[in-house]
Amino acid sequence: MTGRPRWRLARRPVVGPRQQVQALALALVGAALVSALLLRVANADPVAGFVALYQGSFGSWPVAVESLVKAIPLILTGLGTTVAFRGRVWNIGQEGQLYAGAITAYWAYVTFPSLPRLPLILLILTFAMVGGALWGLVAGIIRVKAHVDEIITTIMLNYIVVYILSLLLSGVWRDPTSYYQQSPTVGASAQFPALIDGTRLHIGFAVGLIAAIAIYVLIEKTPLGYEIRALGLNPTAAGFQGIHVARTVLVLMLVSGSLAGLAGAGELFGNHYRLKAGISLGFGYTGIIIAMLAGLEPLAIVPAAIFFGGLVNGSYMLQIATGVPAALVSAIQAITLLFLLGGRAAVSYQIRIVRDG
Amino acid sequence: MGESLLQAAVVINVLATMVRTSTPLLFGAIGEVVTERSGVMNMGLEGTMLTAAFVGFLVAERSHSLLLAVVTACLAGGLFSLILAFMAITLDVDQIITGLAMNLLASGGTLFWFRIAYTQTTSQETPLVALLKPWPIPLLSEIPYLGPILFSHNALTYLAFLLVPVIWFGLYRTKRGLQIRSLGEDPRAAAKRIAEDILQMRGLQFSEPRVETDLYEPKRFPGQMHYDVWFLVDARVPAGTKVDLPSWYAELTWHDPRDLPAAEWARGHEDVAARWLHARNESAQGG
Repeated sequence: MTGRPRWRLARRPVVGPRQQVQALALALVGAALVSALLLRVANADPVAGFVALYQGSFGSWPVAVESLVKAIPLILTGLGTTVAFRGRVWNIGQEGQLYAGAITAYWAYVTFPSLPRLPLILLILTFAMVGGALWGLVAGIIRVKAHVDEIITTIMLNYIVVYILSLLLSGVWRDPTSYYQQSPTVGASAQFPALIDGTRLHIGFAVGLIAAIAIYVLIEKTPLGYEIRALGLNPTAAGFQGIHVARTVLVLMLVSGSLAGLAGAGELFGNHYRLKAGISLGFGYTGIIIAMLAGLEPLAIVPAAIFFGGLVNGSYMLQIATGVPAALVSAIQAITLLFLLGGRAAVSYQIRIVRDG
Repeated sequence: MGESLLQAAVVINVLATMVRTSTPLLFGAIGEVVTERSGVMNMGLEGTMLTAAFVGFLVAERSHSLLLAVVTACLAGGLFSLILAFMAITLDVDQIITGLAMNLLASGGTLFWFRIAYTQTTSQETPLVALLKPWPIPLLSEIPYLGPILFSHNALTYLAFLLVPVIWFGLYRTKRGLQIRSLGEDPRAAAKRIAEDILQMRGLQFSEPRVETDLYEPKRFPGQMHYDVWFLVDARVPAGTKVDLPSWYAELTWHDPRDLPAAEWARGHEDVAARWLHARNESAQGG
């Protein structure tokens, strides 16, 4: 009976970069196959569909720039998620913090509309960060003081801020000439300047890149980042090590919220030029998905967000060229993430051949 | 007089609407209670509802059978949750993230499917299905005020309210319910806490919890059977690590339960706790 080989599944002690790449490849192939299947279901040629998706996202200079524009809020909310999740603070409230940032930024604008352009934009960015941060802090304080799960509070705060926005837009900030619930267009001096002349790519993209580097440095190179990582690995042990857990949680919510707030200001002053409920298309929730896609690595957020922005942008070309509904792209995004999550779980195991002794 | 009658009608209408619109919330909340009690946070509830609603609509629109639609909607919701369960439980992927991804999948997937299924939709030819008919309960619906508020709804509303005591009974009065609730209590964290905080034994590695059940006759209550659900967590010392045993640890006597008659070792939990505390106190006094 000796020497009969058996298969055994065992958890890998270390999941290295090679396994991560394997997981990514596995996820992309899997997602592409399922997407091709969905394209076939929609009576379209899968190859033509993928070509249209590429042409509509990165196939030419103008559409590529537009993909980057779509990526801006996703970079910022993705970073906000990353910083919170690395410390195991489950901030699902990016959506609400985005609106809170947009509200306070708009408030700064209507209070000081006649400032020169540079100080006005700096003021708007600052207020956006403060607004998002304060809205995040609310959930942080409830968690620290009353030990209420921040998942629940941040989700509920998302609803509250949308109703506050609706209240403001049906009252003081309403554009009287419009049928819709929205503010008047903001003045030219408050509109974010273009990063590249003649395109819609506004300075929010630069803000996003700077934020990505700043969050990378914060998490990897600073004492606070060490505390965040320690908190994420083991909150109990972090407490024993003398890390002030409650304070770190509050700081995380502040940083995370301020990043989401910046995303709100970017959409308001860089994209729509007015305050309305439609400034976010679920960017807060998509940010969480992007953060997971990027494996909670700040620098990987940027390509992940651009990938998602490109998919959204390419979906229009997909619909025009092949008649496949643009909604397919949401499904593709979700399938990519699910495959990646499943792939990461799969590569953390290895098959060992065991021989009976 | 006429005005107060009108006001009463409005109030009754509002209250009846509240009961009716609480139906989906109630179904969702009951489902979430069961999963949360088992320790799984189902963030994909929204997507599950959306998918089930869409499948139900498709079936109703094609087959004109609402019963078939409701049944397939339930099946669709169950299948959708099964994907979530496979990810979150079998593959051990984060539950929140999986749920959010499933929500995105549902919102995109249903819209995609809808556009495929109904390509040439104009406002005139919007696909419609029949609504569930209200089903007033004989006699009860005749009660003034209460009748129209509580007893003049469709079958699903009654079902949602009836499910509340049913699920309560299931969770609190059945073997399976006890197992579900105990699962949600995170036995591994509890074992870790006891080992590290109370026994002061650090460096142990803990296995995944497993469930074992047993039926026995307690010594103190002859003739009565006692039912226990245990969550066993094995701890082992990783190679190269030294774990300091508490000084009183050796004084505890352990019996292999398999060598003893059932009535000998199967005592109440308080007996075990008392014996353990006694041993600890003695060791504290001795040292």
